Order: sequence, then structure tokens, then C-alpha cells
Amino acid sequence: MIVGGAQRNNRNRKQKQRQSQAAARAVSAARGGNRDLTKVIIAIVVVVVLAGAVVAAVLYQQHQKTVAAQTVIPAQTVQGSSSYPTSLDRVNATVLVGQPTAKVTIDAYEDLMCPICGNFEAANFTSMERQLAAGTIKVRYHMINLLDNSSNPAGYSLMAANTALAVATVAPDKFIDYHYSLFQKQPQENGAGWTQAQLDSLANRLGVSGTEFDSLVSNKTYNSQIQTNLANAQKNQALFQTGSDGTKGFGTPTIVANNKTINWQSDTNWLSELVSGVTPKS
Amino acid sequence: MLDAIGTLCRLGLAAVWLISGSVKAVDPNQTYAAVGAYRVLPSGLVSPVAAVLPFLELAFGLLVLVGIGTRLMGVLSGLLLLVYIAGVAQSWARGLTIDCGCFGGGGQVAAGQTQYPQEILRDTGFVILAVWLTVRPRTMFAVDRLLARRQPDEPGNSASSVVGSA
Repeated sequence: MIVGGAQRNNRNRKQKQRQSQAAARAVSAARGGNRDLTKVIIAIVVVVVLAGAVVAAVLYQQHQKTVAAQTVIPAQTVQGSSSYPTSLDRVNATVLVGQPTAKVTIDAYEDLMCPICGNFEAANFTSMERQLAAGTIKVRYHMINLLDNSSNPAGYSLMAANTALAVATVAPDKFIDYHYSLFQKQPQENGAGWTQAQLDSLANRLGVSGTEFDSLVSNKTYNSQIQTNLANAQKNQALFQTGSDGTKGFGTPTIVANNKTINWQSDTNWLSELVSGVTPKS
Repeated sequence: MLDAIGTLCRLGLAAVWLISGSVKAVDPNQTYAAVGAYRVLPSGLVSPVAAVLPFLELAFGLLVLVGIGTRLMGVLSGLLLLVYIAGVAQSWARGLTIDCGCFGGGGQVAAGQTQYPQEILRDTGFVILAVWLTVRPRTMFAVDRLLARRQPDEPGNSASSVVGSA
């Protein structure tokens, strides 16, 4: 009895042990499965969040481009512009504004994307325009594409310069209005830039249109000369200015008179000095 | 103790991503200039990469902050940081004069204004945080912890505890 009981107990214990081992295996298998499931859930969450971020980024960028493309560049006219002539030099792709007899010739190298060029125009155009009307100065505009990489997509500077020269070809007297309007409402640097459609719309609203204008724009007629002008300017030491970091080089705007670059930022009387026959400090 | 260090690593890395991502996201034009300044990507890729990076960093920050897939995020964070370090290093090696644009800014700077060693050192510090989380992803206040609550998450523990309780 006792022995038999001990045996039975022993057998029971062994059986229990086997059962509990089997149970443990089942539980651990099930939990292992759980662990894999948890990993899958985590991976899915991570992928979904990252994919969501990419989609949000693309939508945000498209939205910004749409907003920029909807901007209407206000058409502005320069009051006294009818009192002096404007002529285009087709070969060199430069525009001469003012009486050819004017004693002082100012060469202005500008990029329509460049914010400092915008500052230069805002600070000086009113007084320059007065001298233009008085026949004391003439200004030769060199529209160049230094900042082609500062728009997204790249190339706003070149496109805008070509369009401005197309305006100067078809209606020379509208060039200064077009130029003024574009500097009054510049696109954000490193932003989308105005589209060709926005540039065309501005020209149309200033009264410049027609098949010749359209073909100059679509054929990018002046692009190669504009690029040549930039390359030449970057090699021409006479145009170099000292930057804020002490290095010398070509930048925009560069304003030249009497073969000297003019530091219009530090010498705010540069124009009256030029007109009265003094060469401003460079 | 180690959990506490891991938690600090996690929150630190989350802060890095959230700050750098949001600074870049609010100034997309600057980010575009910064990405372009590395002169690595073909021109067609600069714009999409500049658009996606800030949001990707924000997503990284969010995932690391809540502590979901901490080990996976440690690996991904480390990889992205290595890409950034490689970008800075190649600019340095090629003699470009740019700011890394790591936390806003970026683009061309004057020749004497580059800070390549500091930038690489800083990013290396961030990589260490990511490595910690990769090697030892257990941290406090993490979603991973909630998901793992119904099971012991150390494989060594699980067998003995199962037998012990049975």
C-alpha cells in the first residue's frame, strides 16, 4: 500500500512534471509568437510614420509652389521714362537707358534674383531716374545669371534676364518699367522663382506681347549671350569687389563708372559726385 | 541605472531630431540652399531631398520620443547621422566652404568661417546616443515597454520564469 502509494505518487509527480513542461513549451512558443507579432507591429508603425512624413513633405512643397505660381507681379510704370530713349545692343545683350549724349555712363551688372540688387534699385533708382530725365547720365544694364542656383528649380535668373531682354527687343521703352517691376517684386531667394508664365503675364500687362516676343522667350534667344557676359564679368578684374570676408571677386550688383567700381553702400552720395565730375571712392 | 542612461539617450536623440527637423521645415528655401551647397546630389534630386529631410527628421524625432521600435530607430538614426557626417567630411576634403546647415542655416560661407571639425564631432556625439539605443534599447517611459508588458523581454529570463510560475 505504502509502497504502491509512493509509486503512484511518484508516477503522478512525473506526469505532472511532464504536463507542466509541455505547458511551459506551449506558453513560451505562444509568447515567442507574440514577440514576433510585436516586432511586426513596431516595424509597421515605423514604416507608416516615415512614409507619412515623406508624403507630407511632398504635398507641402507642391502647395508652396502652387502659392508662388499664383502670385501676380504688379505692373509698375516709371513716370519719366518717356523723356529719354532706351536701346538694346542685340549682340552684347545689354540695354542702354538714357540720352546717348549724357556725359556719365554707369554700367550696372544685375541679377533679377539678387536681393542686394533689389536693395540697390530701391535705394538709388529714384535719384538715377531724375538724372536720366535730366540727360546727365546714361545707364547700361547688363542682366546676368549669377544666381541661377538660388532658385528651385534652378535657372530663374537666366529666364528672367532673357525675358527682360525680349521686352527690350520688342518694346525698348518698356524695358525700364519691366526691370523696375521685377525688382519691386522679387521672388524669394532659393524659392521657386517666378515661372515663365508669370514673367510673360507681367510683360503683357505692360503692353508687350506678340509673336516676336513669344519666340524670343520660347527660343531663349539671349541665354547664351547672357551666360557669356557672366563668364566674362567673372574673369574681368576691373569688376571685382572686396567681399565682407576680404576675398575679391565678382558679385551682383556691380556698379561701374569711369572704369571704377562704385561702393554705393558706403558712399551714398556717389551719384551726385559722379554728376558733378568727382569720381566716388570705390 | 542603465535604463536611466538609455532613457536620457533616447530623449536626447529625440530632441536632436525634433529641433533640427523643425528648424529646417520652417525655412524650406534655406534648406534647399543648404542641401545644394554640398554639391553631391544631381540637380534634380536637391529639391526633393531638401523637401523630405525636415519631415523625415521630425518623424524620427517623434518615433524616438515615444520610444517605439527603439532599437530600429537607433539603427536608422545612426545611419542617417553617418550620411550627414560623410556629407560634411566630403565638403571638407574637397575644400568647399559651406555651413553644414545641421540646425538651420547652411549654404556657402566665407573661407575662414567653416567649422567642419566641430560639426563632425557634434554629429559623432549624436551617433553615440544612437549606438547606445541600438545596443541596449531598454528605456523607461517607452511604448516598447507597454508592448512588452505581457511578456518578459529578456530571452534568458523568459524560460526560467515560465517554469518557475508553472
